[in-house]
Amino acid sequence: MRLDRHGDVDTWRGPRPDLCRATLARNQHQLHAAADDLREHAWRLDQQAEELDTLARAGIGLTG
Amino acid sequence: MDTGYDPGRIHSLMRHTLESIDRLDALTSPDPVAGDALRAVRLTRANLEDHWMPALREIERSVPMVRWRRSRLGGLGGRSLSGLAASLPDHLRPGRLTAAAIPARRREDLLGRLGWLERTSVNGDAGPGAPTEGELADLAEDIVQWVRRDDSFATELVELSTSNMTVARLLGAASFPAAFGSRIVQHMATPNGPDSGVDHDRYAASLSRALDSLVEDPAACLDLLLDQPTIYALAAWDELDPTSLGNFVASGLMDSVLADATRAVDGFEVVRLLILATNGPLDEGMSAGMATGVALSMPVYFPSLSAGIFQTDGEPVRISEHLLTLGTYDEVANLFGSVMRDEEAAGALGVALGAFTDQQLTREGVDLTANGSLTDVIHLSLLLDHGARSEQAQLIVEAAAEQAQRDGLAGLLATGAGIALTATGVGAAWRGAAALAIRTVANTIEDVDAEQLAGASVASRQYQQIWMSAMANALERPETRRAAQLDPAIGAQVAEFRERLDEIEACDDPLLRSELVIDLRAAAEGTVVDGYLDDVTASQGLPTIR
Repeated sequence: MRLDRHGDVDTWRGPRPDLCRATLARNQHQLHAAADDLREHAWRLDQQAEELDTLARAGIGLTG
Repeated sequence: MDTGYDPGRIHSLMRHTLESIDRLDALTSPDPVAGDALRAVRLTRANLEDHWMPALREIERSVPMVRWRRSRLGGLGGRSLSGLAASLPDHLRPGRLTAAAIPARRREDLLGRLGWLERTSVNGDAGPGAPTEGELADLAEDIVQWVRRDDSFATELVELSTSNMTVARLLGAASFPAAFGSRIVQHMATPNGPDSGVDHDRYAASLSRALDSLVEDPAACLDLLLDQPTIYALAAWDELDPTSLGNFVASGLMDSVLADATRAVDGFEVVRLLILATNGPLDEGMSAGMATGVALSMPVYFPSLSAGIFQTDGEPVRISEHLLTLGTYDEVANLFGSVMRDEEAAGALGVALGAFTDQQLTREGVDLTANGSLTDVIHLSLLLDHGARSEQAQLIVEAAAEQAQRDGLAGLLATGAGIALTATGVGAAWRGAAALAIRTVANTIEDVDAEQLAGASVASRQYQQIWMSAMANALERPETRRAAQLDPAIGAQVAEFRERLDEIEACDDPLLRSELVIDLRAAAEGTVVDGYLDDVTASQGLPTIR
C-alpha cells in the first residue's frame, strides 16, 4: 500500500489528482494515528498486566 | 493549472489502488478498542472507491490523450502506508481470504473493466487496440480474489462467459480455482453456447484458452469429459484449437489415470460415451482435437480393451475388470474409424498401437510360441482395420506404429514414472515424443501414391512385427547356433538372415520395409529357423494373415 508513491505528480497532475492525494494524506494520518493509539493501548495493557503480576507475586509472598 | 498523466503509471496506480481496497476490506476486528482504527480503515477505503477509482477509470477510458510532460517535481512526501500492515496488531492484519460478498462498487468496477476490455477486442484478440497480456493479467489478479470469496460473483462471471469472451481468456492469466474454470468450460461448451451475434471464431479461441487452463489438473479434465453434453459439444466443434483440445482430452483420459489408476473406470466411461456419439450424431467424424486426444491416450486403455475383444461383428466388447460393456465390435471399431478420419489422430493411434505391441513383445517372460500370447495385439489391429475407412488411414497407423517401435516409445511411460515425473509430466513427455514420431511419418508417406496403398493392413503389419521378433529370437536360439557351427552353409545363411534383419530395422520407408519382410519370410522357409517360426505362427492362431 504505497499509493502516495504510485500516485505522485509523476503519475498524474491536476486539481482532481491533488484532491485525491490530499484526501489520501489525511486518511494516512488517521490510520497512523489509529495505529499509534492501538499500540499505546496495547502498551498500557502490558503495563497493567505487569502490575497485576507484581501484585500477584507479592500476594503469594505474603501468604507464603 | 498544469494537467496531465503518464498512461503506464496510471494503469499501475489503478491496480495498486484496487489491491489497497481489497486489503483494507480484509481488515476486521470484533474488539471494540479497534473501533476508531476500523473507522479510519473504512474512511480510507471509501475515499479510494469514491474518489480515486472514478478518476482513474475516467482517465483510462478517455480516448483523447492529454500530452504528458514529465514533471521534475517530487512527491508530496509523508509517511507511506507500506509499513502499516506490519505495525498493526495481529487481529487487524489481513489474513486468509474468507467468504464474503463483493461490495457493489467493486463488482461494478470489475465488470466495467471486463466490459471495457471486451469492447477493445472488437477487432479480434490480436487486433489493434486489443488488451495486452499485462492488462488481462492485472484484471485476472483482481477478479480471482473475489471469485474465491464470492460464489454469486463467480456464477455471474460464468453466465457472462458466453457473451463476454474476455472472461475465459482471464483463466490462463491468474491462478483461478479449477472448479471455476470447469464451470466456464461446461457453460461455454453446451450446444447452445455462443450467444447470437457473438464472433464464433473468437468464442472458440476463448473456450480453447479455458481448456488450456485446465490441462494441469487431469482430474478436473476427466470430470468434465464425463459430462455428456460437454463431451458431445467438444467432440462436435471443429473450430476449437486442436492442440488445446487434444491436450485437454489427453490430460483427462491419460494423465488422470496415470496419477490415479482407480479412475480408469471413469476413463472407459468416457470412451463409452464417445462410442455412443460416433455411432449416432457424430457418425461423420469428430473434432480434430478430440480425435487426437483420444488416440494419444490409448496406451492406458489398449491392454484392457484388446483383452475384451473376443469375437467380431455384433458381439459386445467387454472390459471385465470394470464390469463395463463398451458396445458391439462394430460400434467400437466405428469409434476408431471416426478417430482415423483425422490424419494426425490416425498417426497418434498408430503410435499408441506401436507402443502397445512393443510392450507385449518385450514384457517379461513372453513366449512367442505360447498359444495366444500376442493374440490381443492382433485382435486390436483387426479392430482398427475394421474401423478404418481408407487405406491412407491404415497406412498412417501402420507407419506410425513402426516409428513408435523404432523410437522406443513404449519405454517412455515406464521411464517417466521411474524418474518420478508427475502424471502430467509423463503425459506431456509422451505427447511430445508422439508428435515427433507423427511428424516423421507424415514426411515419409506424403509422396506415397494410391497404387502403393493397395492392401494396407494394420493387422498384417503388426503381424510382421511379431514375425520379426520371432525371427530375431530364432537366430539366437541355442539350436540355431549349434547348427550354424556344425554346418558352414547354415552358418552363412544365419549370417545373411542377421544382415537382412538389420537392413529391415534400418529401413524407414514403410512400404519398402514391408516388401523386405515378405522377401525374408520367403527366404526363411525350409531353413533351420522354419520350425520355430511355424510354431510362432501357428500359436498366435492367425496364420492366414499376409
